[in-house]
Amino acid sequence: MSQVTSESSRKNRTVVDQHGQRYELTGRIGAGGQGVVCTTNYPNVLVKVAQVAGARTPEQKREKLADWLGKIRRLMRQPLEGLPIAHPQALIVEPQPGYVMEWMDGLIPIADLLQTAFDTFMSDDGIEGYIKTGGLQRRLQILARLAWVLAELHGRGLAYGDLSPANVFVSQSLEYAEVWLIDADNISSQSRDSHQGVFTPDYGAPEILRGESGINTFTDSWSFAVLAYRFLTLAHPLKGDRVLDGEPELEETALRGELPWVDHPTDRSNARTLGLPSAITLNTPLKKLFEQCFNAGLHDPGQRPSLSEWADVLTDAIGHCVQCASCDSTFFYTKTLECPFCGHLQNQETALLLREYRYMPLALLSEGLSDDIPESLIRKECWSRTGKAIVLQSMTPLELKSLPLNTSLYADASLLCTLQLKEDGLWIAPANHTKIFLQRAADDKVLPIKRNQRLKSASRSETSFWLHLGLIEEEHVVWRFVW
Amino acid sequence: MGFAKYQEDIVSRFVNDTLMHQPSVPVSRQRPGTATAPTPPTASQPQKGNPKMSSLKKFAVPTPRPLPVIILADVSGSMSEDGKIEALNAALKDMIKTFTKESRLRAEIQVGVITFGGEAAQWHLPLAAAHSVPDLTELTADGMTPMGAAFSLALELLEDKDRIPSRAFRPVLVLLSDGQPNDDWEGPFQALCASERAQKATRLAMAIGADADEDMLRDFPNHIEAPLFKGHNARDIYRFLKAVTMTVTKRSTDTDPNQEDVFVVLPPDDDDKILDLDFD
Repeated sequence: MSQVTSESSRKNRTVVDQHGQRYELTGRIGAGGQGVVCTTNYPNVLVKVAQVAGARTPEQKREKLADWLGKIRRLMRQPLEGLPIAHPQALIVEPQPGYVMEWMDGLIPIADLLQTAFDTFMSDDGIEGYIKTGGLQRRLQILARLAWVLAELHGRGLAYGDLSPANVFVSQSLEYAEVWLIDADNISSQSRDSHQGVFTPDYGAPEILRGESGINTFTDSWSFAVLAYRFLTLAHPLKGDRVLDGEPELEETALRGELPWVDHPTDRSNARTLGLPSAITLNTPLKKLFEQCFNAGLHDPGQRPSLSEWADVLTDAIGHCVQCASCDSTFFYTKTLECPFCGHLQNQETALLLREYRYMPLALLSEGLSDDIPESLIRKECWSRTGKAIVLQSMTPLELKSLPLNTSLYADASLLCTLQLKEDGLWIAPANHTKIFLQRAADDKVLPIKRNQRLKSASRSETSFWLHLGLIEEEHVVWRFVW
Repeated sequence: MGFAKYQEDIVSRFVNDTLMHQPSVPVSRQRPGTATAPTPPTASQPQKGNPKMSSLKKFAVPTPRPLPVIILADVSGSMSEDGKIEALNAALKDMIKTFTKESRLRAEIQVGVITFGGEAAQWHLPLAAAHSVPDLTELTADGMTPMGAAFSLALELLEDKDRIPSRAFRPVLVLLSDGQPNDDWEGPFQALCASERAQKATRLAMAIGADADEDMLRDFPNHIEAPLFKGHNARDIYRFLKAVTMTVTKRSTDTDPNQEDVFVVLPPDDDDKILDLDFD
């Protein structure tokens, strides 16, 4: 048997599925413990070829493959329609077991974005890689979308299992923040005592590493939080300076949950100085969720925020970002408008913070209340802050709708008005036949806005304004800003 | 370049930066005696798009832990027979190529090659991050089998805290030989096994052909799952290094890099139907 012929014959890249359809494998886009994922000669079609590791005898190999096939067959019956999760559509039968899945081309794994961000630090270009992979705002968009996908999956009674930067794919183009999950092999019903302990190091929940639990929605929530923290800050939540400088054994200890997390409010024994500071990459609601996950949720998985909580907080955070006119990065709004990445002070006229309130008319609030409650007391209840805010930036029009911001039906809500910040002032354009009113705090005057109207730049005087998106005698959303 | 040194460097830059948060605005120098005219307001006011303000601040990020892989390659004269040295060259190149494609988020695979042949052992490729390794120059086979000298070189590296810091993942030491050591190997080998730092390394070994000193090589591996691998031809060298590659890459990403993994040299693929998944 000559070596030359046996080497040259190894060029077989054709696979056949259960329906007789043939696919040519054209490249590899990922590899995990259980197989290699390849692109094919068809656009948007991927093939995963099973590879069982650690089998020493042909019997062991057959056994492991049979287990894997059983898992894939079960997976094919799970309700995954409509979710951006690549899942088996047909089984590959020749020459090796595998499956075919639908895909969207033009995606790269988050691992690549992370690598790009780290690489520029190594080549002395600092945070350039972080910025050119989309900066803070796009990271929030990607994470919000990912949280939504996982929340949907959890809502269908399924847990994802092995969440890691290599399994989450996002648009290569900076204009989009599409998210697709690959490697659905571990998706399973979220039974709490499932003993399937698949995980990626750094991302597995402590109870999985300790061998006490299989995958479930709580372990998904842990993995998501680690991924989010790392994507935003370029630091691992359990690897403070002490762990990073220590021996690998200390890191294992940390990952098993035996050390405090890096931003622990009182125990600073594992604090970090490396990575981007939390002070500039996280806003208060995000800090709260991370604290909940990595402190209270370290040993009590039930304390971890749900994926829908993450989706809400991340979606809100997207609206709090301001784009720096100097370095093009995005950062969380602060009064000074100083970019934390380059120190550039933005012109105050280029951004306007709007805060959302709910307004309940006095008449509605007093209904059914006895007359001896003083009106002043009830009047206080007319306004309630929703805690949501959005930054209006020059050149980017903002559409305000009839429902509170980012609620589940917000995308379909009807448009009430469009705000635009231009050099000559703030333009408020009501949508057709909508009734909106502007109230000035100085004199409590309420003016109806009937056409595209402007608050002049020259008239800015630190006065509070209330933009009512509805009739004063009805309950509605109000946006408050200072002009 | 020492690993620790590099880190000190980025840390010091970070510290410097926290002391000086913003690039200072140049103040116009005034000569003593000249009338103090107020500087025009435009000079100190940050303007939109002012290039001076766009210099990015310095931050420092964690670096991955090194995962050193050290190859001890026999390049004595007998390796030139039956295409063994050619196979070794090709297999090493393939291994490094595979390493460069691995994720560096968790572990940075580093490769070093010590050759022993001719009169002495030497660093053919000094330990360096796999993704920054230039094209590997071909190994050439010639002369004796000074294996003991190779052990000493490896020991020297493993004990050097600057080159392999304590934060590194457990190193992998791979020995390939087709002959009998002709120098004092027992002393250096004992030292390698006794050294507190060096004994932590995972040792793997391959005996090539019938002339290899199997009795001696059998003592080298310390991996429970991987006894001495006995190969006979060029293709076996390939298979062995492929298994090393798989073990290392698996360590760097899949499971805990410090854990003992299953090390299996796969049986030769005689099946023509096997899929070729090694895309370039």
